[in-house]
Amino acid sequence: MSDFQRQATQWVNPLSVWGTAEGVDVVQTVTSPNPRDTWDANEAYKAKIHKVGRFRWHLVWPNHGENLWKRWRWWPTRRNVLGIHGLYNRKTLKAEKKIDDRRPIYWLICLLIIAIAPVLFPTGMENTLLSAGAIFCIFAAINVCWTLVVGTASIFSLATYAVVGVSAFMTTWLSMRYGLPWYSLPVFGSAIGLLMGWLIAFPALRLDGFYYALLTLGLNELCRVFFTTSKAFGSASGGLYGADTYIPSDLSPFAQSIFGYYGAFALLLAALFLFRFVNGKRLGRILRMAPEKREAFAQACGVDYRSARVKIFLITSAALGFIGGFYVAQYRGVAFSIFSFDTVLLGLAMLTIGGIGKAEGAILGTLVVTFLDKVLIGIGPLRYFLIGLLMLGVVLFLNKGYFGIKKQFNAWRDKKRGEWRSIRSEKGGEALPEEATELDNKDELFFRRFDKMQRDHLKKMICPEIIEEHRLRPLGQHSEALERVLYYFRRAPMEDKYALHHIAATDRYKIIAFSGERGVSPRVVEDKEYEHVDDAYHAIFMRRIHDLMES
Amino acid sequence: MTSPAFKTEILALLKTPVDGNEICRAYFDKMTRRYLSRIISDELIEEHRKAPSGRHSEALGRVLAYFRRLPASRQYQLRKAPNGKFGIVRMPTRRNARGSPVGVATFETVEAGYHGIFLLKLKDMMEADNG
Repeated sequence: MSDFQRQATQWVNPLSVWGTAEGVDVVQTVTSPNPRDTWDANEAYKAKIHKVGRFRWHLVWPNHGENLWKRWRWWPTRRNVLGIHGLYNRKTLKAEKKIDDRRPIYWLICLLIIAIAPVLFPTGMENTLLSAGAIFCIFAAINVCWTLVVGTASIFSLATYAVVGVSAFMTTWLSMRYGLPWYSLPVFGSAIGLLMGWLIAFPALRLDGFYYALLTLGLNELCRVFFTTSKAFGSASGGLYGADTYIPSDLSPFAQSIFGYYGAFALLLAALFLFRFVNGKRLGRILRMAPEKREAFAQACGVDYRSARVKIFLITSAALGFIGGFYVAQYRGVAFSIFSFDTVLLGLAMLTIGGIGKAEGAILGTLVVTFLDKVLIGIGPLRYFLIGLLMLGVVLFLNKGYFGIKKQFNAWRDKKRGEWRSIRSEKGGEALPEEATELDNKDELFFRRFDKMQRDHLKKMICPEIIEEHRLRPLGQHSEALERVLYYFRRAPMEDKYALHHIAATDRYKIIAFSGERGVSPRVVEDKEYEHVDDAYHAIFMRRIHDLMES
Repeated sequence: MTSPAFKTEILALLKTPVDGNEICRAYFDKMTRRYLSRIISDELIEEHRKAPSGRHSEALGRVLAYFRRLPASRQYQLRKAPNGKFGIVRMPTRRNARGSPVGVATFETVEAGYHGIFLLKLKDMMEADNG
């Protein structure tokens, strides 16, 4: 409507050659716009529309066909390798196959990349990247376990690194003192971890999240103070080294690095298996039935979420102890920095960036933070700012870390879709589809649509020129624009239609409005009285124009 | 009723008594032509040239309505020549008669032919003695 340009024109009264009573032969008016434009504007979609059928690159697999019962299954279960279901495309009517959950494929691709990564490392940086890769794998394994505690079990423990550290120091000490072989270190580590977990688990049942986090942080600090001041654990040398290792010492340093890298990778795989079998099986499912703040309801339904949480915590602690023992078997010992506050904070950053509660989130967060921390050493302390900025960005803009982006994007897209739909179903006096089904007389619907178009069309013609023309001559021949507007006004239903009431006593006129019902008297619209009938006609005209423009 | 043109026409009619409706119609026709000649402008002709058919402005609509109402003896037709061009012929008033060509102008398209007829009728109207 806004793109319509009014054009001033002159209208010659056809009766002028006969001589009119008012002597108004020529009036200034506007051209009448083409009604087709109004029609087209009303029929057109306001929202941007796109051509459909452009998914030619969308990979669609054919149906199983005769191979319906020949599927790959995880031995010895009947579980399929991929969740696949067959369906018929509603448009092409072809039988198709859809993968319900593509995550196993992505996992496989990413793990393969990690497996072949040493071949892809640029020359000259192999040593840095191999050691960073080994650290990444170990830290990722720790964070996957931590995710089980924080995400699945909803226990906000910050003592993860304390468990790993205590286990590592103890196994190093045992190995040095009693000459334990490397393969026994993770086993002893698990036992120590389980003991630690048993000690820490009980306050978790009593304390709320925030206080428990503080308690575990204090525990971490306690361990740091104990081990750094204890002479038996090498307070003089900054750490305890000298344990047995699984990396053969007769290999070249490069081969040792490769050995360490794949050893750590195997640890990561083991941690992922643990995650899968704890989070995806009975314990994880029990806890998904008792999400945060709805524990009371779950308990009332017979879900024993407390014992499930404690069990997960104990299993994870044993796993963390195992990782501590493995760490010692890889690096021959451990430094005090494992207890330091910045290690805890970096670990927290890894979890936050990836998204709490998901194994893939923990691994991606670890990858990002390790890369910044260990590979980009050249940029100095600035890298901690970068980690901080990443964390801040995730907290500010994302709901559930990087792996929550898809869900967040889908929610945002649904919101936008709703907005676009509301743009398309512009009301403007028309019936909404919901109302339309309830009206029996469908003529009514079309009349409303037509009436809206009519009003849109007439609004284009309302201008000072035709108002002035009407003022000069309310009755008689009018220019096309004014005549069209008046036709519309005359055709209005009787309900609330304006009329003039002639007050005989004073010979004046007053505007009234009909009730539209037989026997119900009209109402007075305004108190103003008009001396001349033409002024009163014009006043009614102005009221109707006002109503038209407001509608 | 004081127009000299009207007087001559009426006097001619009065010489041989005819239907009174004819007198009235001649008078109305003259007044209509007088009105239409006031609203004819270059813009109006240009508007018709651009779109001889379809929706028109009110003024052009009134002119065209008058032209359509003319008696058959004052109407024109288009005739397609073997070379594919259009020529203007006068509309025959007798059954099975062939219209006589008007002028030698030929038009490439039907639309141009319509506009040619419009200009012819306009000329007729402006040249009418009593306009």
